[in-house]
Amino acid sequence: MPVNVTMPKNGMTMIEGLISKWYKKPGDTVKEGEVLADITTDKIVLSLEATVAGTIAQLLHPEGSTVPVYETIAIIALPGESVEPVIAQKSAVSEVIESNRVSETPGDIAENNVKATPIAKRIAKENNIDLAAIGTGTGPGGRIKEEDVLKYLEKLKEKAVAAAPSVAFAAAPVKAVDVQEPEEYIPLVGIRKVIADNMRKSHDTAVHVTSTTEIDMTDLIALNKKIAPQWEKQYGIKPTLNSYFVKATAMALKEHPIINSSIVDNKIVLKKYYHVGIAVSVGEGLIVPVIRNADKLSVREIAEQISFIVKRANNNQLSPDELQGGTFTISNVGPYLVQIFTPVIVQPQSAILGIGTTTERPVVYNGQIAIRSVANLCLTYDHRIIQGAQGAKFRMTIKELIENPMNLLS
Amino acid sequence: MKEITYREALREALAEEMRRDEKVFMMGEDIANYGGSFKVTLGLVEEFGTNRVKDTPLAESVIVGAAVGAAMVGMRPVPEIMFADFMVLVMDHIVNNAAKMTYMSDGELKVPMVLRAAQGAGTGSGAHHCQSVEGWLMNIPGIKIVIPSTPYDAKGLMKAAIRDNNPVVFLEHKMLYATKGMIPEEEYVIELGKADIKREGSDVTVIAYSAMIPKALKAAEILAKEGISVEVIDPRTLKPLDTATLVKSVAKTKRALIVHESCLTGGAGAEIAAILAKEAFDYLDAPITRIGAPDTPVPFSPPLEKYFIPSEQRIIQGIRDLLG
Repeated sequence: MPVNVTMPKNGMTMIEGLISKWYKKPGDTVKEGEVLADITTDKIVLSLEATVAGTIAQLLHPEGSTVPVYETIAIIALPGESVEPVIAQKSAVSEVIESNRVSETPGDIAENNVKATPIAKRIAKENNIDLAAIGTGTGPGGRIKEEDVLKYLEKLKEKAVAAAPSVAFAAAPVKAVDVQEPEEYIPLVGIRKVIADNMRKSHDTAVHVTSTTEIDMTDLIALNKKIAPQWEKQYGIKPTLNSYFVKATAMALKEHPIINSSIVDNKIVLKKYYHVGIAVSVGEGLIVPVIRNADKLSVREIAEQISFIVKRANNNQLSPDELQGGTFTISNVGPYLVQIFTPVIVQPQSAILGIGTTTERPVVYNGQIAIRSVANLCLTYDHRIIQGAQGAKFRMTIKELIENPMNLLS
Repeated sequence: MKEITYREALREALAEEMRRDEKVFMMGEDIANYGGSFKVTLGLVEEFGTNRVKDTPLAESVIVGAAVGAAMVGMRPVPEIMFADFMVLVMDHIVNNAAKMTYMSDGELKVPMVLRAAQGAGTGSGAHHCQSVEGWLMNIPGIKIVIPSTPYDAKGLMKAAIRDNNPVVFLEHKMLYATKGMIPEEEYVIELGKADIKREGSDVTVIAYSAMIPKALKAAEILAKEGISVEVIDPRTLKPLDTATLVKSVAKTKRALIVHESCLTGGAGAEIAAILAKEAFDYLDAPITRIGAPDTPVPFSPPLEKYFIPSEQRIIQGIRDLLG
């Protein structure tokens, strides 16, 4: 029997995946373990491998389509099986079983009959909605479900509200556009859509306040210059400054528990575990590997974990679960010549630490004007939970640790 | 409370009812000294003697024919058919005598018989010893069908069945005999025709019975970890069927999955689906779905038998499809 290839569920929170690339087309032969497609989730790109050898009988969704997990996206005909009528093919046993059944879905049901569940039809009727106006639903085969009708109703309400004041401005002159001005449309799907939704949700949820503190990076840079070649020789890893920041942050979180918190059910939850996410560039994208229990790890162990995750990310081997569960996030925009910025909190965390670009500047150091390497710590915190002084104290602790970096190695 | 097996729960019910009412007696193949093929009646002959725990010849028609006659003259027989597959040998007594006698005599005659039988696949006993037969019996007016899934239900329902004045077919599942559960120390009876919500949930209703209940509960537990809330309902008796409880649940969850081990076509699930389609129509947000065995004999090959019996995985997939 031909084998159905389904959209994989990779990680607990994955509900759909974007087919970002097909490597095979119908008629191509595949080996077991060969990559069929790239699947983009809200976090990463996965390689979907063939579980059997055979010939691609059918690709059911084009590149760029978003498909729910477990839905069939391709069919592989096994060696010796016909590729053409693969869908009609059934085993002898199932033919015997099915021969007694009358077709369940006669094809000649009037085509203008909108497919909808009974509850969807009832709600539509109660609200005088034409189901045809909803078009395609989210159920199997485009069936309109209760949820679709409720969403449509919601949209109608929003439109009604938005339309109300426009009457007053109707007379305002609007320059008619005669020709289509050049525009390009990029579908807001997959990762783009998730980022957009998450950003919106964070701003709808938290009260963002950002404040900054200048720190002296000179000693940390000098220390890493000394350590890096040793560790590379001895352990095969190249520690970046990020590893020290993860360590310093974990230590500071322990000292300031309010920063490592969330609001759940009208309660502030102080988390006694310290999972620090750090945004890292991978290829053209950005991922946020989560270093779990960073407080219990040394700088070297943190560096090892970051390089391991980056390596896996480069090979598309990352599981979404490796990017989840952070209690705090660091965003280092050093390479992009940024002095100060206002990072957006990753929900449901309560703060995020931005690190600006390190530049050499004249500063007062030990009572003298000296050229030192300085950067800004930009802490955005949720003002519902964290007060200004609490945020400042947290930044001060990190500043002290970074400016006396030997403390991070003990 | 005490922990007890399904088999022991049935034995307790039988013993208690025989002590309570001397008209209650049992007859069947090897039920006395041997204790029955599945040891349900083990030891009962010592307390009640061979007059009330009667071994019979290997002739099902005689067992049930005699039981129907005894019931009509005032006894309360509990005959046993060793394997429910042999039910076909006694269908005439059930359909044309037991089920009709009260109607045809204008209520003069009653047939308070409880016909016990072991059914179900999973023991590797092949096509003639593993069938689930409740579907065959659903279409007989005048009998009650009891099909318990837990020791607690088995005991309480058996006591109610023996006290009932109508013919009752009591279907036990072979794979449940050794399962354990808690029951009260004190006496209790469970009214026939009352479904039991085995697990409360809000996203989908799974209606199952007999050996499918443990599987449905396991599936519900697994899906709970993904945030899918599954309600599991056991009708416990198929006739009479507690439609009110089923409809109420489906009106809440908007989705129904019916699971039984017997073959899909014309099974109890079809009846339940038809009732839900009418009574819960305006609440449904997905097609009522059934899971059952394929329309084939129970295979003898162990891998095929395993495939034949609806699994947790099939139930999980069925639930996912309903939510899709």
